[in-house]
Amino acid sequence: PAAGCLGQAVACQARFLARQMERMIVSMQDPDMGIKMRNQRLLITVIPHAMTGSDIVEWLIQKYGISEEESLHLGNLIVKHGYIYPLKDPRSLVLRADESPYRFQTPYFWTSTKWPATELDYAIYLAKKNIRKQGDLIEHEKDNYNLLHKRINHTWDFVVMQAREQLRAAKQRRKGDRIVIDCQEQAYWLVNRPPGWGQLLGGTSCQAPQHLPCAWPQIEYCRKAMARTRVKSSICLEGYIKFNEQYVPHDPIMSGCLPSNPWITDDTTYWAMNAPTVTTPTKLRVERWGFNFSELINDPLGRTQLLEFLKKEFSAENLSFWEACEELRYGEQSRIAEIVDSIYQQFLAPGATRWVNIDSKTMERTLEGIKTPHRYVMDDAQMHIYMLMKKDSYPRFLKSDLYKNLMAEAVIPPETKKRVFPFMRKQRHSSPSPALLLPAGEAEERSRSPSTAPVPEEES
Amino acid sequence: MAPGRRDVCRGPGAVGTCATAQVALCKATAGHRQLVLQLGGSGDSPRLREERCRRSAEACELSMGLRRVLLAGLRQAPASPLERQELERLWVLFLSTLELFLQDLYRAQHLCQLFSMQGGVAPLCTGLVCWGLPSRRGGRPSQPPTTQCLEEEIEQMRAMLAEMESGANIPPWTVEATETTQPAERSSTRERMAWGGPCAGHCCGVL
Repeated sequence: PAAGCLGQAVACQARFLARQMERMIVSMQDPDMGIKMRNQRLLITVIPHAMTGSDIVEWLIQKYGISEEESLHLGNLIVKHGYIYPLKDPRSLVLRADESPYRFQTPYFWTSTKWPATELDYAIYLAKKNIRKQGDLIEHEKDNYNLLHKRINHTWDFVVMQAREQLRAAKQRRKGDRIVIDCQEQAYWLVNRPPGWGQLLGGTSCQAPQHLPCAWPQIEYCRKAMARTRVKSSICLEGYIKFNEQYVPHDPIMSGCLPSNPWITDDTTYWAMNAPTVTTPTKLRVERWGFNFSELINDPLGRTQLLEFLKKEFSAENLSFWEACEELRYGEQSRIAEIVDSIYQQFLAPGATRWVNIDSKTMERTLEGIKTPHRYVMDDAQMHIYMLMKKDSYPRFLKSDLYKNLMAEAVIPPETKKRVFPFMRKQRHSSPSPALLLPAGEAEERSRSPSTAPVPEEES
Repeated sequence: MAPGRRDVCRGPGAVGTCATAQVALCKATAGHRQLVLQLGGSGDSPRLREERCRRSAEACELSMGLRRVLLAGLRQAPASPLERQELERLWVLFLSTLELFLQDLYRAQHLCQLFSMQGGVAPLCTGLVCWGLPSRRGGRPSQPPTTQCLEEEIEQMRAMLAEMESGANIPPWTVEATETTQPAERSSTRERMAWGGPCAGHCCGVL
């Protein structure tokens, strides 16, 4: 489903791009400000509405105030997407800034027309070409023809019938128009079925054709998706179940909270006992530190205990370094240079008082990065130290006397006795609306607000 | 269905009628496509759009007629298994024709709206000669918009296609082409293939 959404987003992007190009094409037509049209002479036939590559490039430069390089790039995009096609050397979809002639594609063949080229369409085109050229198709067209002949064999009779009828219908036009329509169609298929398309379909080689405009973002996306590491769903589910089993007793909603749920009894002891820094942690909390390293290090109390332990092992600088890196990552933008320098002086400089042990490659990279300090410059080093603590110090911490004592001394709060007489429970009332605390007329409001039972929260 | 019609379908000409109608339909859709191709280009004009409307109406009528005859033929007990095969082959071809025609109708609608004769985007300079009247700007005043007949046709064809696809139980893979044109060949060869596959004798649950 996520892939589908992203695929759609990618398709949306492609359509947006297409619409922009269409607008550009339309402005090129302007009788006053558009591109100069010339006649194309083919022996005896004269066909209007041709433009030179240099005229197109010039027009783009003038219209958008861009450089020649940018204009060429833009022009090439337009040609590759099939809005303008070359009249000489039609298979080379490039914009040449010279006398090479080009013509506008008819809107029927615009790639943004919301309906992508179908196999049926392409088959009919190839069949037409096959009939006209009596079998003399170019290599990749021959392959595609055979491919389609297999894939949509059930309707091949229709393909041939329709091909014949389309050829007959075209014969009724005057010669100039016939030539133009042929060129238009050919250009359309060169854009939408370039050499290499058949391979994509056949699946033998995964080389994505570089000049397949509409599908390019989707191809890129699929490539990246294929390269991602994948986990078997059974393993994923196992992990999920294990996680749930481990954490369910710790979840206040699933397993209740002791002494009581503050939302029900208005008794905030539960929150007080589980505050970030307390003297004695609860048993559940200390248990959680044993689940994984992140539980320990992300709990302020746990982190303090870890620091105590590391001091005993003479590796407290690791944790300090990690904390300093966190300060860099999440701290103020204006202090970044200062913090980076402080970290360097304390932890990384040769002979630093609290030098941390990082492998040489990471150290090299980090020292290089420090020259242009930014928020994430310490990421590699921080990760290295984090993994060091996790793999080395953490298992020892769990086996240490320090941790065992913490477990022994941890409290299990007693459950609040349920009151027999419900009306003896504390009066419940809502806190006054913050709107009443507005500075103007505050004194007036205060005298009016009800002051019955004491309110748990502090009014500012 | 009128009894008279039923007689026609029972006759040996059922397959022949359908085949002829199919060719006529192909002709109509090909002609229609030629016109839609020019919408928004230098060949576009009110006269072209009128003509396109006429052709698509013709194609719609042919489609409805062909569908009636095909259905009638398929509903009854076939005169011979070969005839049944033929009708099924024609059915598949008809579906493809409708698909293609509907696609062109959608494109026509989109292009007519984009390059509306009533002050939309001006048509592009595509190198074609304008159909009929030379000047389109000074041309006729407001024409009845062609989009109206288009929308109805689109809906009609779309509904027909959907009904046919879900209604008739004719799997595409049971049909084999009679045309065996290969790229290497100089001219197309027609070989009637005697086909005695699983379709012969199996009950097609046609509406």
